[in-house]
Amino acid sequence: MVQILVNSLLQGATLGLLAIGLTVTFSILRFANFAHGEFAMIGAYAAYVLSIVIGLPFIIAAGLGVAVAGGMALFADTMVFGRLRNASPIALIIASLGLSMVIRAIFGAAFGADEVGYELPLASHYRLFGAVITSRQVTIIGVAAASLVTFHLLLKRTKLGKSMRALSDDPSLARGRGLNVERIIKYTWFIGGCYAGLTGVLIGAESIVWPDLGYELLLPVFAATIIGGVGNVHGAVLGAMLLALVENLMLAINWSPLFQAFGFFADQDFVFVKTQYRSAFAFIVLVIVLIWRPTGILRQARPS
Amino acid sequence: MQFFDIFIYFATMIGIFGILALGLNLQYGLTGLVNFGHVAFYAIGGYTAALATIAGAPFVVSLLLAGIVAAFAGLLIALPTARLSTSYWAITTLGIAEIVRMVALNEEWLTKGSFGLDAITPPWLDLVPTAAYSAFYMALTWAVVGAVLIVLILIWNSPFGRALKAIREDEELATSLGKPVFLLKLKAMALGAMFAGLAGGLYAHYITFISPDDFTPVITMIVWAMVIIGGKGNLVGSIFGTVVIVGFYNSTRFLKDYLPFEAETVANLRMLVIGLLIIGVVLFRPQGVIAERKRIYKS
Repeated sequence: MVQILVNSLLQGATLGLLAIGLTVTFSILRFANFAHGEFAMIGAYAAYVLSIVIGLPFIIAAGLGVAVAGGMALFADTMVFGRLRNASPIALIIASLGLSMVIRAIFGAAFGADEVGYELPLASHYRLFGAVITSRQVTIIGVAAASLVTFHLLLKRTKLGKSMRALSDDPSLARGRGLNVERIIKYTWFIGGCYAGLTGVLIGAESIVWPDLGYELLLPVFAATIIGGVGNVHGAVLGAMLLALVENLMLAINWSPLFQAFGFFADQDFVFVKTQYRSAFAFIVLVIVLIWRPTGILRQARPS
Repeated sequence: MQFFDIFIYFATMIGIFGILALGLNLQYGLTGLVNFGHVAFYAIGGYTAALATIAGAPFVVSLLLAGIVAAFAGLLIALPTARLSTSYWAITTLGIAEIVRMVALNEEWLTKGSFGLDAITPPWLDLVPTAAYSAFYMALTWAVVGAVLIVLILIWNSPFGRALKAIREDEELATSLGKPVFLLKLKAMALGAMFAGLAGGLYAHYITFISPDDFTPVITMIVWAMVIIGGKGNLVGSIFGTVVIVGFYNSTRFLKDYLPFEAETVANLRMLVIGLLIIGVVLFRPQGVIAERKRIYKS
């Protein structure tokens, strides 16, 4: 049980970093960005190239990789999304899907379909109330928590954060009050891209890097965003944690007693959901939230 | 002779993908529904037809079943999302495509997983001479394309079609005019999904072997490229877009023997071109190559 909590915390924290960038661009620009996961993949590969191919120390490579992801998000805005500021959300969504294809094709052609790794030193194990946790997982959770706190402080304490919230609440009012909307949007893309890149690097550090890394996160990250309520940064992190917990619980439950109560699988004492169905739970939770409370599970749509 | 075979192959694939594109055009082009899971209904149609045929159903029955089951799936996925905005449509439909693929991969008792279903017998093998069979199947495919086109032309010019167009242009206006927007969206989704199911059934009988590899999200994206390149809300445009994209997609498959790349790289470059085409059309020619002719009503 503690193991499930530890794993969910780890997965939820990395997914939460991805979800905050998505939820902010979703609420400010009013479209679901299907290329958001690709920034995580870009960050992961950038850190790989810098640390393994070029040979920089991993910490520096990871930091630069995160910045590269942010820069690519900015570049994507300049090349594609920025030209569609007055277009309908439909145009933006389709363009983001096209962009996601382009980015994945480029990385797939450059690196091939095989996964790569960071070749980090072996991590030591700790025991914690019966659960096993590695020193690397502790680092990942620490980095994720520090980044989330930083984002929180950015939103609450800085002028940029306040303008981002103002823009997300009411774009025309924000413009009317003399905010430099374009500049805020650019910052939002860069920061969102950096956080996505951090997700990619952390996933790469824990497991592997492969071209579909970002695409496979798409459904969970949308689910986390919608569970938390679009535009709600804290909600997005909470949504990511909840989603990870639900996924792990559903996969860990032995469904046999339930089935046997209704007369199914009488000869099987262990009935588990296949782990391949993990992201199906993201989808099911997503649909339930959309039916039950489309504005997210938190009371206000956007807490100030 | 080889040229003739390639031509027949292209024509058949254009027919099958043409039906897919027409279905998506009904949903996106006419009604404004962003369906990013079109391949799900294609897959459902393909597997339904395959399973029905293996169970011994005649061709026509298996094809009808493919359409009906896919339409029902379209209805089911539209129910929770029909009241929500575009972004949520896109997300849930993308999700359903992933789920369908997951089921096809993991439920071996039904779909044989990644091994796929084979021995899907093509229809009327004993009636048609073997030499002419591929031409016969192409004609059969295009007969279905023709039927779909007739249905769509009737819809395009009907009060139903105009109501769908009203939803696309302004949902709130359509609601205030008393149009049952929710129900109309369900109908558009189910109809488009039915066409995709028919295309899947035709594909299964044509290739006679299907596996989850035939139904990757890539299919959804190339069908989207067909519809928006051709021009949304425009039937001729969809067929034009299909010819262009199928021609490009499959000719690179033949070209790969002459290009100094590995097959995987060629596949990636192909996706790169299609992705760039999609972005380019959205940025520079949102109405597509052949723009929809808008009727202007004078009072």
